[in-house]
Amino acid sequence: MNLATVRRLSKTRLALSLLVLAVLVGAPTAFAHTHPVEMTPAADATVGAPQNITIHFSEPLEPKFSQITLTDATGHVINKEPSVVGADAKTMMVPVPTLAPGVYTVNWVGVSVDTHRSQGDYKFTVK
Amino acid sequence: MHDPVLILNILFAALSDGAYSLVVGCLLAGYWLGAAVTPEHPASSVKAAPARGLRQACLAGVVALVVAQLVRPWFASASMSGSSSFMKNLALIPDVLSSTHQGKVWYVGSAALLALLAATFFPSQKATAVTTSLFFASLLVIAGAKAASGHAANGGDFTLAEFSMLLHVLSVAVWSGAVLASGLLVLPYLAHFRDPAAFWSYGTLLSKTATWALLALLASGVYTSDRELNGTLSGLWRSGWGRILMIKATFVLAALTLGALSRFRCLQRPATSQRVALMVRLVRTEAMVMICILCLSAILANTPPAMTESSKSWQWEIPETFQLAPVQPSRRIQCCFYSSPR
Repeated sequence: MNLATVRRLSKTRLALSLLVLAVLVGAPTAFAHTHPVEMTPAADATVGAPQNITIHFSEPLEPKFSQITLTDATGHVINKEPSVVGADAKTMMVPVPTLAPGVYTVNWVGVSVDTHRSQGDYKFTVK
Repeated sequence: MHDPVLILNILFAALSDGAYSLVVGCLLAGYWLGAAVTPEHPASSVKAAPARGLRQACLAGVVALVVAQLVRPWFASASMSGSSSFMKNLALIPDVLSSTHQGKVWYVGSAALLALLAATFFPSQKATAVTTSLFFASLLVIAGAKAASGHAANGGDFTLAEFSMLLHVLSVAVWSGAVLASGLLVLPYLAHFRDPAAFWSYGTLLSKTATWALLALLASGVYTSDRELNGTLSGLWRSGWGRILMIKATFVLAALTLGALSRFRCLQRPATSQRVALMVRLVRTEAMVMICILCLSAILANTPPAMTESSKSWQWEIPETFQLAPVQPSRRIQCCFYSSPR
C-alpha cells in the first residue's frame, strides 16, 4: 500500500466519522428521567372538588414503586385507594373522596424503568 | 455521594464494567497472540505464559461479573424504594424481579451469564466452534442487558438510544479491555523476547482494533451525551453530571494521546528494543487511565443527567407550555439515584 492510498483511506475514514458524528449529534433529544409534565388539578390552581388526581409523566413509570398521595392542610392522607398507572405507563391517577374547601398537597413518587426515583409535591386549592 | 449505598452501588457498577471489559479484552488478546505468534515463530516459546495469564484473568472477570449480577437486584430495590435498609430492600427483591423492567433485564443478563460460565469453565474440546459462538453470543447479550438497564431504557426497548448504548458498551469494552489485557498481561511478556517481530505484529493488531473501537465509542458517546444533556451544552459545566463527563472526556483524551504515541512513535517506525520498552510503558499507562475511565463511567451511570440535576430541594421548573405561575417554593422535586450496577 503506497502513501497516496494510505492518505486517501485516512481521508475517507475521517469523512465517514464526521458524517456519523454529525448525524448523531443532530438526532432528536429526550428527557432522561421521569418528571411530571401535566397535572390535573394543576399546581397552584383553585378548582372545584376533583374526583381524581392525575399526573402525566415524561417517561414510563414502574407501577409497583410509583405512587401519588393527597394530604390536607393538617398533613392527613386523604386518598383511601392506592394510585394506579395507566396503560400508557406514563399516566398515574388516584381517586379521591369529595374534598372540602381548603389547600391540599399532592405528593408524588415516580420511578422510571432505569430504577431512578424522583419525588416531589405541589399544592392546589379547592374552592 | 456520601451515601454508603450509592458508593457501594458505584463500586459494583465499576466492578461489573471492568470485569466485562477484561473478559472481552482477554478474548481479543488471545486471538491476537495466536495470530502474531505462530508455532514456527521464534517467539512461540514465550506464548504459553501470557496465554495462561489471559485465561486466569478471563476466569476472574467472569467470577466478578457473577458477583455483580448477584447483588444487582438488591441495589435495584434500594434505588426504586429510596431506602437504604438492607432487610427492606431484600424483601422487595421478588417484586423487582417479577414486575419491573429491571427484573426482565436481569433474567436475560443472568441467562447469558450462565452460558458464559458454561463456555468459560467447561469448554468443549470437540466443539470449539460451538463454545466460541456461545462465548461471543453471551457477551453480546450481556452488553445488551447492560444497555437496557441504564438511562437509555427510559425511551423504551429496541430504540436508537438503546442501540447507541449497546454500541458504546461494546466499544468501551473492546478498547479498554484490549488495552488492559495487552498492557498488563501480554506486551510485558512479548517484550522479553529478543526478536520484536511478534511484539510488533501484536501491537499493530491492537492499534487497528483500538482505532475502530474509538470511532464507535466517540459516535455513540456524543449521541448519548447530547441526549442526556438534553441538547444544552451549558449542562456540561452547570451540573455535576456534566462536570464528571468532562473529567471522563479528559481521561479519554489522555488515553487517546497515549494510544496515538504508541502508534506513531513506535509501531510506525522500525522495531528496536528502546521502542518496545517505550510502547510497554505507554500501553501500561494507558491501561491505568482506562481503569479511571471505567470508574468515572460507573459514577456517571449513577448520577442524574443534566436535565434532572437536583439538590435535595431543587425547585422544579415547569416546562413553558404548562407554566401557569412563577415557580413557588411549594413545588419541589427530589431525586434519588441508587442505580443498579449495569
